[in-house]
Amino acid sequence: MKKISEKLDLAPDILEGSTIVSMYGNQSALVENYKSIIEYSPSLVKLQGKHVKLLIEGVDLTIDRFTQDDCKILGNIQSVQVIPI
Amino acid sequence: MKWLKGYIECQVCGGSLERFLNMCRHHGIYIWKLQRAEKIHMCMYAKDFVHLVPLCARTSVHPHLVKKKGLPFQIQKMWRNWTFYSGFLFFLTVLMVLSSYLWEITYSGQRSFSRETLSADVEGMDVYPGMKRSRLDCDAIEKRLREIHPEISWVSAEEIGSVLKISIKEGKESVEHEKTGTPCHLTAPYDGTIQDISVSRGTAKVKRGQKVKKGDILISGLIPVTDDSDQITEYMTVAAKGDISILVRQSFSEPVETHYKKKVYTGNSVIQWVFQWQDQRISLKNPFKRLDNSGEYDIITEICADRIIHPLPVSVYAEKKEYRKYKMVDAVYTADELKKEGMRKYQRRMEKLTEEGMELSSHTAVMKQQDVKTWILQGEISFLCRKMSSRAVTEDEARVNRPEPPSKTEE
Repeated sequence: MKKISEKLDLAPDILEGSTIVSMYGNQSALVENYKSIIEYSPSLVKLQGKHVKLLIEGVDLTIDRFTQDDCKILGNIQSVQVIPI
Repeated sequence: MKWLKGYIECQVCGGSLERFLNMCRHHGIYIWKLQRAEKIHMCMYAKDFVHLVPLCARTSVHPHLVKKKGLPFQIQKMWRNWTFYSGFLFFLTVLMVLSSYLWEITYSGQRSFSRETLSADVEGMDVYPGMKRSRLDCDAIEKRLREIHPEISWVSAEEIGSVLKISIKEGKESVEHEKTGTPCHLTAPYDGTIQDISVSRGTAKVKRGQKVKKGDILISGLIPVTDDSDQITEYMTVAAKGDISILVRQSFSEPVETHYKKKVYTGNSVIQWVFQWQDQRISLKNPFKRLDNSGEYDIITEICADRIIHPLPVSVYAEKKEYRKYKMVDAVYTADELKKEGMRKYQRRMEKLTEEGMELSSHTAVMKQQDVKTWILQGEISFLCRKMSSRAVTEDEARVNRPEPPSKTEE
């Protein structure tokens, strides 16, 4: 899939289903192409992607939106960690 | 949109909360504003709450409804208090309907016209309290009033809410002649010097700079008609019209008495209330306070209500009359008071001229002591007078004096 995607010059999220993280300063993060939520607490949000696990650490973290397409996290975000499976 | 569809705030606790959230997502239940403390606080659409039951059973979490928000819940709440809301709606409807009618007509600025005269004219235009405001045409009212009364120089009809406010300014006296078409001369109201003259109709009798006396004809209402030999065959009579300004210098001398009678209130007063409903009138007064026939009283009347309740033919009137007893005592002006009294008389004189439409150009005044009891206020006022008097043309004036043909003597 990765090779086809590269050959066709497509964005990796279309065929591979890569997780997309968009940060707006340190106050907001929008995660797309994720599979499920693994853990949620005011200091940590752990999300499961297709190929990676995503760890978002911070203070007073809230989930502003939780839909099938995306998940918007608000709060004072201190770090975003990507752990390959 | 969320508010329109109706949503709830709820809390879930116990069991596997993350699994519960994933299952919500999997079943298409839209959740937002998640906050984690001991419990998870979140929002969701009201219709989705019932779908939580199997999910809660599978994940062993306990949902707890905190608050209902949105239009469907507001309607439910309003439905419970339907009497209040329907009353409020009824009030708004009545207010809207009633405010679409004209309820009062007020008049201001008239001097020679009575309120009744203007009211009759306006009613003659089919404008009356209780009519629909949509039928009201203020421009037409202004135009018609000017047509009926040409002596009104300015008229304004203004619609303020449900009130029609008619303001007028009355013009010159000479307009009466213009209106009736009576031939007239324009005459000088004061002694003075002509500053400016322009004739619209008639014959000018004076020039700029000429001195005139009160009553002199300035513009004549007689226009001579001549024959080929420049002999006046007849006079054409017109209502003279033109713009004239006369510079008037007036000297005045007015005594100001130092001794005067001063009104002192004794403190005794009697209050009387008068109420009137249609033609029935009732007066209320404290029976223990009687008016002294030998005493002098100031009567201060305060009209509290004077209204006609439209559309009913009912009039209500209420007034408060206060009888204040006073006595006159001899008093003497102090120097300051004397100066103020002199100034007051001087101001009154100037205000009177201004009210008559004169333009003040210069004025001086001094106070001189004549004797112990009397002071004299002396001065001179110069003003421009643009308001002329008018005098009707007499038959004698309009007659042409022709030389009588020589009578034949019988031989």
